[in-house]
Amino acid sequence: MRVLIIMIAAPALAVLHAQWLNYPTPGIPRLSNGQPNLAAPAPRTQDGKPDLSGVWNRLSPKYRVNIAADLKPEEVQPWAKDLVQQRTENFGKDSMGALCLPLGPQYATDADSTGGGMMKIAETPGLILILNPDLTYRQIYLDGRALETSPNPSWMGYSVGHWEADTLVVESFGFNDRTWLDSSGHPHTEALRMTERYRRRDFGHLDLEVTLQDPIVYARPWTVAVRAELAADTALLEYVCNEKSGDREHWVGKASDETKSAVKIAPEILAKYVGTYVEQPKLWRVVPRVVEITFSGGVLFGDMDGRGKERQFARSETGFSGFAGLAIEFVKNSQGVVTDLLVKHVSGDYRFARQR
Amino acid sequence: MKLLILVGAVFLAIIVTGAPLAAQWLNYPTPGVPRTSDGKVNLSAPTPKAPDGRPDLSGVWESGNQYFNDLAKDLKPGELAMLPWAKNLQAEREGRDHRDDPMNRCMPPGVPRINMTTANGPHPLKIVQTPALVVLLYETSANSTFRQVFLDGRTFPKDPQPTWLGYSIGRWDGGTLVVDTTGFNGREWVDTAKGHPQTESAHVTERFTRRDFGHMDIDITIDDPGAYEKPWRALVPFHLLADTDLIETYCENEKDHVHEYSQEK
Repeated sequence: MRVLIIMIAAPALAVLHAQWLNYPTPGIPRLSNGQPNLAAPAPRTQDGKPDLSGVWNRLSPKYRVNIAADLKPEEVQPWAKDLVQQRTENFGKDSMGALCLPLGPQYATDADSTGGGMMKIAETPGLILILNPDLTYRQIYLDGRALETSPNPSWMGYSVGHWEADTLVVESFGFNDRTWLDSSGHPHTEALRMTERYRRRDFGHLDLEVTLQDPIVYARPWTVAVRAELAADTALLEYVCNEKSGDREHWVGKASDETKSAVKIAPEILAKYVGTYVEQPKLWRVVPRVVEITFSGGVLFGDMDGRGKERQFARSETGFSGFAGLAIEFVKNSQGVVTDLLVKHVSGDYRFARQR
Repeated sequence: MKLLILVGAVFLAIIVTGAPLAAQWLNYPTPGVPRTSDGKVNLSAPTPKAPDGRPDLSGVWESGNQYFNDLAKDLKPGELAMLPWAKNLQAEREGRDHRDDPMNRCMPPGVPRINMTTANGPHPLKIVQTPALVVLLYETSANSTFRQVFLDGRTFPKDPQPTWLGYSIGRWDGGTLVVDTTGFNGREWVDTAKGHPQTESAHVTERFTRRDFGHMDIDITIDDPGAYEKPWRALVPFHLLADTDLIETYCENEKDHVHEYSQEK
């Protein structure tokens, strides 16, 4: 029997082996320039099912902040709305992230302040694992077992899954009531049931629909759509929350303090900031983030990454705060034309170039 | 890639969320496993094979007793040779009833300690095996956590960010899965009552051999020139926990650490 041996010369890859954060994922379809072919067809496992395996960057800027964004106010119990108000006013300092506790159902829609959240999916026929950077894991059983009728409430819940054509349907129940559904603090009870529908559209894109049902808090079940981009050629970086020191007692003040110390800036100046600003460079996302600055009723608003309009409070003629307390700064050229917006971070500013 | 690191609180002690064994999945018959005529799992059946022909290590496993407290308990004199600083540190830790154990502050147990069960109750590991990746899921007495073992041919990262659980690569050596791990942050403890030290230069090898359906050994080598004059080995037996699954465990912060110890030493 003749054996065909294929030699592949890839000298550049030897250097990249050095760092797993930049390690080429073996066996994925690539373009001629070596980049992953994100538009290639979705792969299948040995038993013919869609293969969801990989490191994924979940994009969920809007629902991470407000899971109930698409619900009408009257569809949320008044006590729940009060709780959200209170939690936001306290800067979310009792959130799971701040307390180093698991996020529970929120893992499905969670993202950081840049709108992205990493996860790794490992798939076997009877069990699918979702691994998170904070070292929590979810087990999704596809072995035919049913969810229990009265489970012991847990942080991560209990999940079973089955295939409907090429969509993985995951049903979860048995969450304890101690987690929030988003960073604003929307609550849920132990009655919460969550259904997730995962569909790998093509090699690089995963669509996810999350349906939440908790009749004690929310008048009806509702569905939010989130998507994920394949984070090829990289790995999860271990994040041990308990290791990060920082004293919550120092989180003083209230969110509404911001309005009290705002500076008055003339409307003609504010109006000049209106525009669409696109992130340069686009970080690790396939599509860059966009900030929309609008001006109405004498107030400047910013919409970051589709999250919804947030009021911007002036600190100076060019400096504002409003994206969950983050400072922004408008940059003008020598002719006084606004060219860029900077989102200020201790680790370095994110730059958004004005397109219109 | 930028990550926003959340600012956490200062924790000094833990309360472990104990879960009463009421949930039925803790008594759910694992589908597709060999059974005897009375319906019990046949722990003496041969080692199963994965679809790719390799031994299948999948299952929920519990270690033999006491290795969590003293990994070196079976060693003969002279097999464990600590450097002088390590000897002093180990003696101090043992004398202070593991008071400064990072696990008390909810840190991950480290490798290989994370594999071991404790005197207070089973802390099993669950092996989920695929050809290019083996995932180890852990129920610890700190937080539930996991390790990824990459079998895709990659080598160790050069100058990696040090972590509690290291970076693990695996390969098959006949019927044994050999897992090599480096990249530790040097703050791990090898075991608990004894407090054997581990440094950033540690290279831990775990050789997993499933002897039959219900029994597996992990043959552990600690090669840590930062703390030990020579590598040392411990063979730890594991038994299958049939028809059950891991319970989640999470530390919840509590400010007052001092209450953990009734006597200052």
